[in-house]
Amino acid sequence: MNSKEMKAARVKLFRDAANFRKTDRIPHFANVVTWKVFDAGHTLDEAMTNFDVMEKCVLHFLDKYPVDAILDVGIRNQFNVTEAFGEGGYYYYDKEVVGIHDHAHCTVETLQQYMDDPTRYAWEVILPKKYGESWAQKSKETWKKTFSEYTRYTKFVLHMAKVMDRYSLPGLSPNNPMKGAVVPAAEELMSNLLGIQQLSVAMRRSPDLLDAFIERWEKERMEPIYEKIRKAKGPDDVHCFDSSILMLAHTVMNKKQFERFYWPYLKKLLDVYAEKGMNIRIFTEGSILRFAEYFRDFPKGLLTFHLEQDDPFEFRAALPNVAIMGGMTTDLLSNGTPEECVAYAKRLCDELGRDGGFIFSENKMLSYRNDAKAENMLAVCEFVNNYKL
Amino acid sequence: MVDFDALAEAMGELDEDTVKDLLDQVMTEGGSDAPKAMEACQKGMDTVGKLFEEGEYFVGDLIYAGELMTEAVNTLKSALVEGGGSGLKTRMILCTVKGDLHDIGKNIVRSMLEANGFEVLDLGIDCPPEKIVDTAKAENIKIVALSGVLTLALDSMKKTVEELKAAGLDVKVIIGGAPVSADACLNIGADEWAHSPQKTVDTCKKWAESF
Repeated sequence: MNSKEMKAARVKLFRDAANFRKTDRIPHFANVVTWKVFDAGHTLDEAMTNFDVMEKCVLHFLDKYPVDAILDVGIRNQFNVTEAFGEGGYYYYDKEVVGIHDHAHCTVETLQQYMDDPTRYAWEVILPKKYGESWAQKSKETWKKTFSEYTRYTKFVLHMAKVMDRYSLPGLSPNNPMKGAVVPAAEELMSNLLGIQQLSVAMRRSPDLLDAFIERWEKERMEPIYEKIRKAKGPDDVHCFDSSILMLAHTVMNKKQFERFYWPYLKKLLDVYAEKGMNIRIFTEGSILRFAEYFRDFPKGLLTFHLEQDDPFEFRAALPNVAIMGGMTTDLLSNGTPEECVAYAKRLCDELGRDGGFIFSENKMLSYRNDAKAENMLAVCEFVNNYKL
Repeated sequence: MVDFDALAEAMGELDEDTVKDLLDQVMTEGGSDAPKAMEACQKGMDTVGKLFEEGEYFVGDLIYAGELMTEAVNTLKSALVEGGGSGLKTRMILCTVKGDLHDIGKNIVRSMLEANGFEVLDLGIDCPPEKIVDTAKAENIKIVALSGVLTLALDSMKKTVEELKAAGLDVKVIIGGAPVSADACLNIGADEWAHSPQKTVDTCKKWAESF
């Protein structure tokens, strides 16, 4: 099998599993981000600012661990571009730690201002907060350096896409038809504009304002996406999924709030994908089981939930129509023995994947040194790769 | 005379306008009933906790309740100080552990704990174990709440618990945040774990009552 055929076989394996078709083995989607840096003997500050080091770490991982796809090939959170422009306050990193400071662009009081003119708000509020008050007056040298870093980064992204081809690894999902992530309005409010605290306050204090924002987001951002999806030829044949979205905002909402601010719009999006026979991976932060009833009527093959906190066996019992991604806990990978990890991996494959509907993955993004022991990761990867159902 | 039952009910229903009106009335009438008003607000917070347990409220409601309680304390503060406060409080430590700089979750828990009568020594973010041990010793603390968002926070939590034990301190430790779990709690050696601020509050209240 050549590299292209191998990649096509992997895409089929993921698609079959997501569609509840029997497969001869379970696909493994490695939910691995920066853990691979430590495993390769490097530190975060080396890898996050040096493309050569990062590539070595990625290759080290791909040569050592047999997986069918990987979340990140070193292109997330590269800081060279924003640092060249003088940004250094939103994130932090050193040898062992990388993270982003909690922040939000608006408050309940300023959301209307953002809605009135998002571009102006970005220009006058968001960018000065990120790059300093005089961000628009940066020197010509700073702009040149930033563009130069951006070009280097773009080349690295394209180069790593070729590396993925060389290793026959399919990508997770294509960009949405409007070239960007598919972000429901509630998630834009939670992750970018308001954050957890202000969204919680706004749902109680200014629900009509949120309704207005969501309606506008639907009209301006989502409707064009629905149209493009409707015009698409159908399922993609080079990625594991046709789309991937992240759910986080549900973790603060009570049921009434979910029904008002989230569900009608999420359902609309899912219905459009269902019309085209496409499949969607939803990474659910926190627990989604509280809202299981809303997802019961969708056909098998549409939804794959990547579970972070929910027990996968409990989830299967609650939503037998939804494929599961995940299952392997970082608690076990970091504290267990290889034998314990493999025994649990076997249980996951046997109980969740015999009739399709299961993709093996880690429940949390492996990011830090102690998120997994290398011997456990290796044992699990080799087991899943070799285990025949 | 303010209707304190109505105040408790309004707080439980998260009816901000009514809570504000009734608290303003307490202050307009001289503020001597501020301790009673605080009691009514805390009774309302018990209702919030009950509705959370029953599944009607969720995390966003707890956050909003914390906001209302903070506003209530601010409104009544001057009268409470003059009147000698609203009784003894259990003091405890709260922080985000070493290596983790996230503070939203910690701050939410803090406001919920304070709303439920705890005096919280907030040691901030990126807090090293030795600072927690030193503070616990110096302040005779019996409850420590450790928060974290990143998985690496689990390592810091474990180290903190080990150092608290090595220092011979008799403290109860609760860990909270996205990466914690029953397995993690066992491995870390903490006494309890929580994903929700309400569970943290309930656990700390139970501990405080047992001291």
